[in-house]
This record gives sequence, C-alpha cells and structure tokens, in this order.
Amino acid sequence: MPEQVQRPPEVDASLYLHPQTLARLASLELRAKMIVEGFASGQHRSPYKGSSVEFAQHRPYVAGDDLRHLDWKVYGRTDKLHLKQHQQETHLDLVLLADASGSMMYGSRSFEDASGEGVKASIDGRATWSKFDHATALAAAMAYITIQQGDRVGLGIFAEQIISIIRRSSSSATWRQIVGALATHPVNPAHAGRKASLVRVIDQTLAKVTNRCLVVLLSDLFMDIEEFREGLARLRHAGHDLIVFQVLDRREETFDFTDAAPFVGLEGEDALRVDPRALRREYLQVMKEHTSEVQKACLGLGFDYQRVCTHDWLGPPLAAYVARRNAMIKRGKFG
Amino acid sequence: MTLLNPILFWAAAACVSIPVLVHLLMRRRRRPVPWGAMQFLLQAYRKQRRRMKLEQFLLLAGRCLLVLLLAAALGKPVLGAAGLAGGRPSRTVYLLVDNSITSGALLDGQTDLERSVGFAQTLLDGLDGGRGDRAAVLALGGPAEAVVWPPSRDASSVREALRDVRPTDSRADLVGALDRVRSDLPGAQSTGEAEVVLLSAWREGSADLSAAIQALPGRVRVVSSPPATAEPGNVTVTEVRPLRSVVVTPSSDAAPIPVRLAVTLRRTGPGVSAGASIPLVVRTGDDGPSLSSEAVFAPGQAEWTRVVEVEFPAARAGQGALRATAGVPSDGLDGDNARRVVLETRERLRVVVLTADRLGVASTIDGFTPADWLALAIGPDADVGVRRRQDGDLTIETQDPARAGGAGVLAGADAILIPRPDLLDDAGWRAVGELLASGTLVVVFPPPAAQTHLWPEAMSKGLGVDVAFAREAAVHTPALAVSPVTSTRGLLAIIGPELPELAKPVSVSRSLPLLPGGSPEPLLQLSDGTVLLAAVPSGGGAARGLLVVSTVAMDLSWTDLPTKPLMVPLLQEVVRQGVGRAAGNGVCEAGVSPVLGPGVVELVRIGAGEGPQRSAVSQGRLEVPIRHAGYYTARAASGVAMGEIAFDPDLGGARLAPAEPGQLSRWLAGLGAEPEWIGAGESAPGRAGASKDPPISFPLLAAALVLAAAEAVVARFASHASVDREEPAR
Repeated sequence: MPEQVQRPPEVDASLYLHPQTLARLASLELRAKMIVEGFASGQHRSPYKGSSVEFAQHRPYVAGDDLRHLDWKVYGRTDKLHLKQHQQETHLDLVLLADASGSMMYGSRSFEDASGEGVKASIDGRATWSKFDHATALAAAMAYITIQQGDRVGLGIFAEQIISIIRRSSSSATWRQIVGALATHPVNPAHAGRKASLVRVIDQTLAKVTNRCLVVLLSDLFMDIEEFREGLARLRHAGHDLIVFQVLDRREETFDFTDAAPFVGLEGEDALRVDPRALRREYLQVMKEHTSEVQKACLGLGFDYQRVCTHDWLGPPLAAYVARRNAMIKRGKFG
Repeated sequence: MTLLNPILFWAAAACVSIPVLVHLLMRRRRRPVPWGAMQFLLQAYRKQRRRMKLEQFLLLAGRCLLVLLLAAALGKPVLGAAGLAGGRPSRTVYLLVDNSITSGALLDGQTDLERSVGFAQTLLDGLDGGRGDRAAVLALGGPAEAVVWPPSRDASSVREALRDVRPTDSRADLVGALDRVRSDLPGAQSTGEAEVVLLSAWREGSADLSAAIQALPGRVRVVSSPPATAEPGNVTVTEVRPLRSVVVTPSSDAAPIPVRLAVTLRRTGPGVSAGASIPLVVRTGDDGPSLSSEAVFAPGQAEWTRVVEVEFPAARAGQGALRATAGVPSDGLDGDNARRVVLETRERLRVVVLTADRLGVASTIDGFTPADWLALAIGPDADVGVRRRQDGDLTIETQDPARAGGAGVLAGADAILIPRPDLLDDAGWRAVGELLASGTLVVVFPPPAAQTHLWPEAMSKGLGVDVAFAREAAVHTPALAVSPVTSTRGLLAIIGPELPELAKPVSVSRSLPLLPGGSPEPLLQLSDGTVLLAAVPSGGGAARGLLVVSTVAMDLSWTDLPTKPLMVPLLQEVVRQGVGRAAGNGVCEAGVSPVLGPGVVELVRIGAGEGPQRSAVSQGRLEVPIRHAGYYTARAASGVAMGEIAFDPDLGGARLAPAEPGQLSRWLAGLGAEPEWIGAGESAPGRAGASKDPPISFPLLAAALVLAAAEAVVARFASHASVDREEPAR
C-alpha cells in the first residue's frame, strides 16, 4: 500500500475514516488510500490476505471447462469429474453509481470545522463538507479495495441521467480514472435543480453491463419512492446485487433549525418561508417514512441498505461492503 | 366612544404597527437557506400549512390586540353608562346659572348670582376631569347663553368662565337653556350620568311657575339651589312714558324743548309699610341737564306716579331722537333702577289727505266734504281754500287717491287720512301699505255716499291687516250717542278725562259695523257697544305702523261729529299720538328681539355699558341678542342712523318675591326627576366623596395582562420550542 502521507505513529489509522480527517486531504486519491489503510488496519484479520489462493469449492465438470482445473484426487476417489475452484479465480465486478444531483450539494458541516486545521474551503471553493464529498470518498475507497483485490470496478456518475461513466477494469489506471472522474465531476451547477432519475440511470447502466455485478448506489435517495422501487426491480430482474448507501447530512436528519428563514430547494423548488420549528415534527415524520420505505424496498428485494451520515466515519459502510462482497464470493455467485 | 386621554390612546394605538413592522423587518433580514431535502419540507409544509397560518394569524392578532388594549388602558375609554373601562361612570353636569335681572338682588351683602356662582364653584371641585366628568355652563339671562358649551373637562376654564358671568337686564330663559341641554343629553347619557344643576334664587321673576315645564329625556338627576328666603327692599322705575312720543318742534326755535314724562315708581319688599322719600333723577341725553325730584311714599304706598317736565336743549331739536333716563339710587336690585325712553323729534308732521275734491270750495256747511272736515279739524285756524297748508307744526296736503300708487306721491307722509277709500286702486293700497309698514299712521273713514262697501277687502289685502267691515252701513234710528273707552295708554289718553264731556253732544245715525276678527283696540264706541274708532296694529308682525279705522264717515249724513267740539281734539290726538305710536316708541325690553324696520343692518350701542357694542340685524331681527339695558342707534348699510332704540330692564323678570318652595318643587318635578336641593351647609349633594381615578384603566390593563399570558402560551405552542428538546427520529 503506497504511503503518500507520513502518519504520526500515535495516530489511530481508523481516524482516516472520519470526515474531519478526510476533509484535510486535498487529493481524493490520497483520501481513498488513507481510508482503506485505516479501514484495513482496524481489522483483526485481513480478509484479503492470501485469499487469492484459498480453495473455494468443487463443481461438476461440464464440457468446455479448462481441464487444468480438474481435481484428479476427487476423480480417483469417486470416478467423477469435478473442477476445483480457488478464490483467486472468482472475480467481482463492482459498479459504483454516484448521485450528483442538486440535493447532494447540501452539507451543513463547515469545511473548517471538519478539517480542524484552518482549511476553510475545499479545492473548488466550497465551505461545507457536502454529501457528494462524503459519497465520493466512500466510492473511491471501495474502488481502491476492490482493485487491490484484483476485481473490476466501474463508475457511473449520474444526475437525471448518467453524466460520466468509467468502464469496468481491474487495472490501477482504472482506479485513477475513477478517482479523477469523481474529483472532476462534482455536483455541477448545471445539474443543480435536476432530480435524479433512477430508472433512467439503471436502464443506462444495464445497457452497459451484461454480466452480473455488485452495484453500489451512493445517493441521498431524494426521489420518488415508486421510481426507486422500479429501478431496484429492474436491477433484481437483471440478476445484479445491490448495496444502497443512503448518504444524508446530519442536519437533514435532525432539522434543528431555530430561526424562520426562506428555504431554497437545490433541485429547482421554490423558496419556502417557514418557521422550521413549526414544521420539524412533521418533516421528521415525512423523512422517516421515506427512509423506511427505501429500506423496505431494498430489503424486500434482498439488497443491502446502509444509511451514511456525513458527520460519521466511513467504517460501517465499508464493513458492510466488504461483508457483502465476501458473502457473494462465498455463495459463488460470480463463479 | 369617549377617551379620557385621547392623545395617549392614539400614541399607544400607533404602536399596533410595531408587531407588523417587526415581522416585515425580520422577513427582509433573513438570509435564504439552501436545502436539499426540499421535497420532505414541502410535504410537511403542505400538511401543516393551514395550522401554521392560523397560528401566525392568532399570534399577530393577539399581539396587535395586546398593544391596543394597553393603548386603551392608557386612553381610558368611557364605555357606556356603566363606565366599563373606567370603574365609575363619568358625569356630565349642566350648570344652569341664573344671571337674569333678579340675580342682581342684593341680600346680606351678596347678590343671588354670587351665591349661585359660589355653589357652582364648589360643585366643580367635586368633578374629576381625569375620570371624564364634564361641565357645561348656561347663563339663563334671556335669551339663554352658552357660556361653556359643549361640556368641558377643563374645570379651571369653566371656573374662569363662571367668574365672568354678570347679571343681565333680561328675564331668565330657563326653557331655552333646557332645550339646549335636551339636545345634548342623549350623548351625555350614553357615556355616563347626566345632571342638570339649576342655580337660581328662584324669585318670582326667575321662572313662570304657572307654565308647565317639559320633561327631560332619559335618566337625569336634577339638582337645584334652594329658593331665596327673603325679599330685599327695592324701588323700581316701572315706567317713563312721554305724554307725546313725537316731539314736534321747529328747528328755528331756539327755546329749550319741554317734554312731559309720566314717571312711575314701585316699592317692593319689607320697607313698603314704612313711608319713604326716594330721590328721582331724570337725565336728558348723555350729558344734558338733569331734573332731580323726590318721590315721597306714604306708609303702605307701593306705587308713585308723577308727570315731570324736563327740558331738552334747543340744539337737540331736529337732530334726531331725544333720550331721557329716569333713575333712583342703588337699592336691593340695581338692574331696575333706571328706565329709558326715546322720543322722536320732527320739525312738523306731514299729513296727507287722499281726496279728489278741492278743499274749501263749499260755501255752506252742507257742502263740506269729509276731506274738508278733516282739514278743518287738523288745521282749524288755517286759511280755508289753500290746497297745501302749513298750520303750526302740522302740514296738510291733499293728493288724488287715483294717483296714490304713483312713485313718491306719498313719500315723507307721517299720517295719511283716507276719507274716500273707495277711490283707491290696488296700486294705491299697496303704496299706502308700504308706508304703513315703515311706520306711518293711516286713518281710514268709510265713504259717505257708497251703498255697498267693497273697499275694505282691497284695504285688507293692500295693507296686510286683519280687519273686516260689513258690506252695508247700519242706520241707527234714533241716532246713537258716543261712549268713550277708558284707557290710560290709548291714543286718546291725554284727552281721556275730557272725553265723556266732549262726546256727549255727538250722535251717530249711520255706521259701517266692524266685523268680528282681528285685534282692533277700540278708541271710541257707540252707545250700543259697537266700535266707532279703533286702532288696528299693523300686520306682518312689524311693530311699526298704525292703522286707525273709523266706522263712521266724516259726513253730516252719518254723524254730527264734525260739527261738535270733540272733532278737533279727537283728530289732533289721533294724528299726534298715532304718528308717535306708528313710528314705534323706540323702547324695547332687554332680551327681546325687536322687529326693526327694513334697511336696518345693525344696532350700535350709544355710550359704554355691558353687552355687545354692535349687533347685526338680519331680516329685521337681531343676530346677537341684547341682554343689557342701554341706548342703541339703528344704522343702515350706508351708515346712516335710522333712529334710536332704548333697551330697558325686563320688569316682568325683576319680581323679587321668593317662590314658594313646595310649588317650586312640584314645578321642577315636571323635568322628570324629583329635584335634589343643595343644602345650606352642604356644597352639593354627594359631591364631597368624589375620589380621583387612577391615571390608567385597571380593568383594561388586567385584560391586557391576561391576553399577554394567553399570547405567551400560544406563542410557545406556535413556536414549537418544545420540539427542540426532542431527539430526532433516526
């Protein structure tokens, strides 16, 4: 693992998974590496170490299989031809779908607060740590882990449709492409004011992806629930697996405003002048219903759902990803 | 709604705009918040919109109402008779102060008016302007005058106005004052209690207790000062009557002008039983010579009359009116101690006889026309046959009745004698009528030869008088004697004592009876009681002008009067006294608006004295009433003097005997409430305990506090401050 930053020895590596740490890192590439380093060093046993040579399973020979993989010992005992499969021979196609719609631009935590070291704004001048920042950090980290394991990773950045796409590949150059795309396609003001259209994005993704993949959706999921269900159903129909990371800002979860103010939507909604305290209870109820519906839709189709808060560290979502990946590999789903 | 502190109220009410302004300013200051989860916020808002708007409206309305209530608490509105906002209801007190001529009655070193004002001042001490108590002051000196009106809350200015109230020379006008109160009572009763306080010594002249008084509307408290207990001794100059109201004197005559005046004094009060000698002074003009005399009253004698002769300087003759004032020294009532009289002066009287015949043509007595008899009676020693004759102070001229309607034919006539009224056309009657209205004496006789008398109708129409004759003459067989009417004030008063003797030889064989109607004043009667000669006041309400009608033609076929000694003094008196009466006697009572002749635009006071210096005249009536005695000059628009008028004290209102308490109480009860009497040792009933109100309305303040508490609860609920404490559902 390349060392880009000289870490003080006393610093816990898991700190790199905290947003405030991430905010200090100007480069997304460096950010991703730090995340993974911090994540890996936090495990008791690396799930990747030597995994490529571990036995996975036997399966009956079928015409056309490579004879090199025949387990002659089994043939000698049973007179049946079985292929011996090893883990390094399984591969996972990870497709990252990062939401760059207008609502992802929101972030309540200031960059300065997040960095803790006087960095007042991001490279592109934003003063807040947005949901998109958090999503891209997570996406880059997952891409890094995946490529380190020799699996293929592809990326799609979308708003109302796919804006940018990186073909799947396991080369380190692809990782750089992915990082570059995430870094150069932030939420564009041109796309601000547009809602994400998941069905369209899924359709576009399915058109590019023929084999079964693990799709990771990174979005705040501020979309119509029916459309969300429809998008998920299409993925299920195509046989893909899905992990949904719903990225939310803490303030979106608490709505702890106290002063009446005009609220301006980031997706083209009209300004609404309200007393937030008067609406808080109802807002939280609506929000809760929506996330509940989202979760129900995911679990109903057998997909994983994980809510990610921009103020929290990235350990849980990454662990969820790794657990899911391992589960899939163990099921031999992609063999 | 009446406000006790209107300025405070409106200033505070303006603060209602503060919540609105705060709201608007805060709206402008808020920076917009970019928000990602707008769809959920919109959903929540759509669900809560109605409730939020209602809450916001309630909050804003509550805050505005709170400010308004505080404003009202400071403003202290008077809501209804119950005084809802101010604790005790406010009082409106109408002080009716009697400053009529009787109020000058002096008893125990204090006049009635001073006593009344003292009562009023004490009563004002019990009023609280801060609570909304108001006071109005009406002076009863007729016509009633508003001294403080409408009711004022400023007690100090009311006190000051009271100090300026002076006794008038007119009688009390309680009815007029009560009418004014009546018009204001509904408004006063709607905001509190109303009290009518009558401050008078209640002497006979103060009010006519025999006439019912109209009740006041609604609930009203009637408070009265008690009637006087004693009558001061007083001498009144009741009359100064010139024996001739027109003084005819040639301007060339350098001798002083003697004028005979009948002066009457009357004593009232406790001193009548004793004899007394009262100095009497009759002054001529402003600075002319005075005649001092002594009125000697025998014990028990109340009235004293004497004809005194005063002399006016010769220079006065022909220079307008002569003024004479008779006065007695100060006594129990000073207002009635002087009486004035104005005498018209003429160089000579111009008498016009309307006849188509030439005078003095007849050679025998049977050929004399009525005009001849009239001319002879007026100028007995003039040359017969002269058409225009000057005989001493009388000028006689004849005019053709057919031409009487012509412009200027009758101009300047003091008296018009019409022996042949049947010869006047409508234009002629109109011309005579105009002169009559302007103060000319008109004497009408029936035409001797007419069988049917149609002229009275034309006369009534032309002169505007209410007098009617029979169509045909009544023949009296045997002839009727003449019976004089006893009168001390009639036209024939001067020859009154000699009249019976002079009338004895006169007989009337024919007369044109007067029909009932109108109000003729008989001067001579026939022995059957029918009228021979009557004075008819001029119609149209004017006080000037006099019509004298005879029911007998000046012809021997009707009566032998022309040949009898009565004829000359009769005609002379009718003309001389009639001219004075027709011109108006120039005397009027204070407080009474005299009917002034056309062309008079103002009365200007002569010399100094109480009351207005000038009073405009509109349509013959005074615009500013004259309540004080004095001499006034009537002026035309051009500034030319049109005569003088003396305003004398109203003696009807100067009777000083105290009213009987029981009768007064019953009379005042006619106002609709039993009168409460101001006791001798008490300033005013129930006034002493009047306490001052706090400067703020506590009920409204309490209401504002309750509303503030309610607003705080609503605001807390609406602001959802409690939501902050709840953990968000994650």
